[in-house]
Amino acid sequence: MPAILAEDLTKIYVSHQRDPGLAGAVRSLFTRKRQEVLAADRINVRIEEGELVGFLGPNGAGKTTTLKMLSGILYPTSGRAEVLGFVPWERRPEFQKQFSLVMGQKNQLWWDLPPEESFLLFRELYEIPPAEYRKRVKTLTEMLEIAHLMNVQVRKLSLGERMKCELAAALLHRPRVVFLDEPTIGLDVVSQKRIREFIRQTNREDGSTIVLTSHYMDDVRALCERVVIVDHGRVIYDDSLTRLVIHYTDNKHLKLTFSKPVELSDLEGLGRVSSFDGLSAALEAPRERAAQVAAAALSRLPVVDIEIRDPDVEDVIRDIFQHRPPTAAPDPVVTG
Amino acid sequence: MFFRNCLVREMEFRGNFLANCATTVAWLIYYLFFIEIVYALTDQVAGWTKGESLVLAGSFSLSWGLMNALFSPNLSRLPEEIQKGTFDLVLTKPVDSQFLATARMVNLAEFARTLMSLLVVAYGVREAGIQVTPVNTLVYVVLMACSIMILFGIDSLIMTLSFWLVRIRNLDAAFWSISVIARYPVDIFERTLRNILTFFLPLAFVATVPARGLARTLDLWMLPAALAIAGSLMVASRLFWLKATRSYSSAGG
Repeated sequence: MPAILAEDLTKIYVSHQRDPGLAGAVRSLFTRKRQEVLAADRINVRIEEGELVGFLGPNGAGKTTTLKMLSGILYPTSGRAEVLGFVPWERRPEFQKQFSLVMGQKNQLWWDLPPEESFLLFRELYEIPPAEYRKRVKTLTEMLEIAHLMNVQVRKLSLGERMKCELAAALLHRPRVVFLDEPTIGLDVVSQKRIREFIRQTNREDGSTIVLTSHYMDDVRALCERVVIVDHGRVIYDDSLTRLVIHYTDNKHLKLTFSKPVELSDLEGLGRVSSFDGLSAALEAPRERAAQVAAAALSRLPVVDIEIRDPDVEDVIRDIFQHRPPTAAPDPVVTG
Repeated sequence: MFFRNCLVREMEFRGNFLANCATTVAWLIYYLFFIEIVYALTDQVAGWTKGESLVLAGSFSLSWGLMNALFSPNLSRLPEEIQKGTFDLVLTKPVDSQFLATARMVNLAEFARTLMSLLVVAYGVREAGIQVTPVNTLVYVVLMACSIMILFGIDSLIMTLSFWLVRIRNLDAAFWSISVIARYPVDIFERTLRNILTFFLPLAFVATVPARGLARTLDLWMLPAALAIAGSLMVASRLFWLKATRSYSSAGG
């Protein structure tokens, strides 16, 4: 049985549009335009127990909507899902005790109290036995280096410290499935790294199934072997991160450094020039022609250094999002 | 557990806590003066003597105090939580979401009012020379429980609307302003308004009926009526809540 299974999971939000300005506001009191937004469009995902999967996609792609359906916050418009064998939106306590959701932008610790107090509350909610609780708090606070923060009011913590406490709180009950929605958003590099290590450890040592969404490629590259790319509410890629580059790009990147300045016109015919400053240039050329281009450059130009490589994952993903196939864009349906 | 956290939290802001206690108590004292003045001029208001009016005032204040202590702080936070999307996390906890959303925070300062209200009821009972028997005490306790359920039911129904309307503060404020009417015996109003307050917006059952149960004769039909109204409001608020959380659309990334 897979830990997470989604079949044709679809969510349509209905919102009411109004024209800007006072007149628009008044008019909207009487006649409102109904607008339907297709936030998740027949999402199909199957994740096995113990996997660590990254959900990638631009803002508004449907990543968070999908996570919200899988955690039972939202009822889907259609489709079906199972997490640990439960239908998430039935909101059964037996299910809720086995998963956890952390949202980088929403905190659940009591703002005016030290984290320890919220932890105790969670112990009650999740009915964690006291001995197990003490052991768990010790492990988590050591792993995240937050033991000294347990008695400081949450409002006095830095963003990074708070996020670490949020993570610890969410994992107190040893969830089998963890959804992390942008857990490193807005954090400095050191905190990001610490949290990343923590996520990896949780996945390895507890065997938790983890689904992570993030805007930071570093998070995904460091943690996830498998990525699911969502765009306009649809899954457009679901495979390993390394295969992504080969799958999506036909180009190689060439970086040339010259011993003396050259003219832009000298580069003509070699490939697409993506940057040029006289003494160095970056080119893109089709994979099968890359060697040819390199040879031509070496013979024609005063090249002192040449580098040929696959494009970065960042570049690939940016390209995917920029060259969106027009058919994938949902047309907003406007009805009276 | 929630209670403990609230206590700790309130202690964090000691000044605020004391000020809160002071206001609630001052408010009640003001109302006692009002009764003293009225009864300095007359012996009876619509058949209610001074002692009976004190029982009524105390009962109203007790219901209102318990409501403010236990449920209002949570219900009034609901629109904000929905607007910001933090309600998401309430729905993922292995505890009933309505319980978690309505009984999470406790306003401890309001317990000061509750205590004072009990003293006022006791004073009124003495003033009116009422014989306290197990029967009328039990009737009173049952009617007071109904009173709180009615207030909770109505306020919960209103606040649940915020799942669709989001901004709802005005409607809630309107209800609380109207509910102050319950402080006066419904007998002082003319027939139509009295019927509205009994059957349509059942504020008569908030204080007038419990006070009658303790201090005066109670029409027999009123006890089952109170139970029926309280019960159906609780069921309605529950069903409405289930419907609302089903269509919850969340907010924010």
